[in-house]
Amino acid sequence: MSEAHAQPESAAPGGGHESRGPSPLTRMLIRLGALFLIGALLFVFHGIRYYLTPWSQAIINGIVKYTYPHTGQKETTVLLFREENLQQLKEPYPVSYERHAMVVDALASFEPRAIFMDFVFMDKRDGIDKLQQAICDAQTAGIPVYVAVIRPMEDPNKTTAGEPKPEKAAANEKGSEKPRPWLFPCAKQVSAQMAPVYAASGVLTYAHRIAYEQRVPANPDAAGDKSAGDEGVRHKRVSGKGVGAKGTDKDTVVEKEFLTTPAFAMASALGKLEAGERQDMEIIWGNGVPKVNTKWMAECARSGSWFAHLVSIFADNPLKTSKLRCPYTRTVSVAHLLLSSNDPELADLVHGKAVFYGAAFDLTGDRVASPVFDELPGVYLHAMAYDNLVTLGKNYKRAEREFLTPSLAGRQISIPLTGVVDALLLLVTVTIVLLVEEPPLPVQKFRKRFTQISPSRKRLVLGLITALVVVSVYFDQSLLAALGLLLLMVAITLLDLVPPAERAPESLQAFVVRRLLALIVPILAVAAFVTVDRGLGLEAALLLIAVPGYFLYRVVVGRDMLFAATAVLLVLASVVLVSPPVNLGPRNVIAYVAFFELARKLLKHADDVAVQYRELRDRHREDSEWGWAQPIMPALDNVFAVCRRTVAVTESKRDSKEEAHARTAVPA
Amino acid sequence: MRGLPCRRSALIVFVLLVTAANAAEQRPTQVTKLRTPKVALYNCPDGAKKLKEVTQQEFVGKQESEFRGPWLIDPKKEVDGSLLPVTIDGKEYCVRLYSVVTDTAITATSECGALVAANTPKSAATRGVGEDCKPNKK
Repeated sequence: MSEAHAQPESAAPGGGHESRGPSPLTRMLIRLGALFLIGALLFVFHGIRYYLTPWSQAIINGIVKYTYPHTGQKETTVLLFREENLQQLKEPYPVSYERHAMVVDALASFEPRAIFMDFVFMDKRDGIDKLQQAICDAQTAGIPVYVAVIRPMEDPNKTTAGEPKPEKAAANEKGSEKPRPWLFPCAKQVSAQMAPVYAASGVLTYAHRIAYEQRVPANPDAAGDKSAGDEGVRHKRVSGKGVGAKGTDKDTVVEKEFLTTPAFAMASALGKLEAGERQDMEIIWGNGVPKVNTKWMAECARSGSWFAHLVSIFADNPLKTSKLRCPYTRTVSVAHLLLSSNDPELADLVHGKAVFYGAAFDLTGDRVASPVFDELPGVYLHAMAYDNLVTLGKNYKRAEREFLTPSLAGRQISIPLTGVVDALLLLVTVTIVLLVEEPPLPVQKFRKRFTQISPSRKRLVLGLITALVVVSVYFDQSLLAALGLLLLMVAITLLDLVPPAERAPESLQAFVVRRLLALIVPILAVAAFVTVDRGLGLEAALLLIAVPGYFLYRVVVGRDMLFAATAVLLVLASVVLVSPPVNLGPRNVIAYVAFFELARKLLKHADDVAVQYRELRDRHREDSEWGWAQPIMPALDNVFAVCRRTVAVTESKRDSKEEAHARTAVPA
Repeated sequence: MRGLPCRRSALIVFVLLVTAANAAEQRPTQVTKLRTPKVALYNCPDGAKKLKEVTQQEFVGKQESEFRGPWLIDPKKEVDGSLLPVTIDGKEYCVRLYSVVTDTAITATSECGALVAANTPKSAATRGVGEDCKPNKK
């Protein structure tokens, strides 16, 4: 707050240099731009976000743990072919088609809702007829079977629209690179390819479909879009002959083919999603272990001493130490399925459920990272994505949203919403810092009208606006919530949340109490943190102790109401963004709060340096005294004039100071 | 004091007898239902060849049907783990465990302490095929 340097500029020596500086509005804009740029650099180049994402994600994990409904968990089952199952079933690796056929047959006997096979079958080998038959039998029994592919595979007898292939079209394909033949006519092919990008919070993105390109002979009759329905393979032919590649064959076109991912295909079949609602997903990883998994899996509970755990949290990555080793999705092994009879638990796990059949073999890859669990077999990614779609429906969290805007050239430009949102959050953070800590003249004048309002009324107003935002989010009224956020920002700015003028000077005893609190509160907080971490886990400790503890510390001990108000504003903004209809993934609020603190420190540091410069300038008024720096002295005057604070608000003489600044902020 | 080892032995024998009796009680003795509309009967012990398909009607049907249930389970016969040896009309067959309902539930309990989510060490090698286990013979 740099109160030590608070003095009206008109009274300060060397004011002449200041008067040649930029206007208050220009200063404000330059400061805004500089802070925004610093923030953008820190966020873009992994500065703040890189270090704080694990902490932010740990808090998000905690929120998910207590708020994410188990609707999808009850509808989803993973059937896992484990390494040990190979021995138990005397099965070689890779697993034979006969064994897969037996598994499909066994699953179908329990009448699941759908089966996804997370195995890619590329070659015709002995026993394939048995698997084909088992899949067709399941299909006949009303159980759709989805099989993973790494590229779209061609049914030799059909087009993708399900129509017999016309001879002319078939003839046109001669000489082109033909896709491998599709081996399972009764199954639907879905893409097992993982999305290449990570979403804003570092959680793996789950694509709703994967695009594949291939060069095919030009055939005007076949141009345009072809579709195999909502769940299957979709074709889109891109016009333009011989686009791109070296040595292009001008008689070919690039055909883009889209393949739906398993979770989206299965949820769409369930009627959970309309075609227009499918976008890439930011998976919310369920946090917890179902009872059925704890029965046969190891290390579902955390082990180790509290001290070692505490040290590893702060010395290492907080996510790493809190990751679970048993999955969220209810799981049954292939051995359990095939070596059991009349087991009621199996019926409960499979009947009417979407079954994701995958493998966990050694040395085969196919493992995914998640913020909640240690590395999981890849099939859990599909299962968790399906869980999200069942639980959240069309309000599942999007990794990205794009909106189209017309460009100057008349074309439509696609702008990613996450980028816009992150920029807006940063701008809001910077704006609050500048408007509250150093308000421009019009804001000062306007704010002066609110100075006589009692603190209790101020808090009432802020509370009401906050309640408006919360209620709006609850009723999915995000436009109203966004309006409430804007109102909250204006209120924070106008009501001036620095300690009020009415507060009596602190007594000696009060000073001692406050300093003692500063010592005792952290000790109590650490003790509470360890206790809750031990009992309920790190997420709960962060949610119940660390976050509210730090918040209260800043408010009660530090009396920093501006921090409290800004933190609340950012949290509410994040909630609005996660809620319908925006439905973006969780934002890294901790990074914005950290940047808010950093911005305040930067402003203070800039002011300190500017004051130091002015003192030197007052002693050495002639530019020639500055030696080689003489030519740049006018520019330096302007730079430090921008750095210098123009407003100083003290607790006791607030009104008079504001009046003084109102006078002095105007350039002479 | 001399009587103590005798008592202990008697107790051990009693416990063993009770355990054996319980085990005998819990072992399934017959197939009581078919879980699927058709159940395939395979050769024993490996189940490589499908010999016959039995329908629900044949299982619950008239007295003269040779495949009428319940089917007795042969506990002594050693077969592939996923199969159940049954005797039907004096002939021996194997059925897949999941396709039938037995008078006592059979639950695979061999999987305890499985570690599903774990950071496995990275390896710069590709898995070969067919080691350790032999493929099922037809």
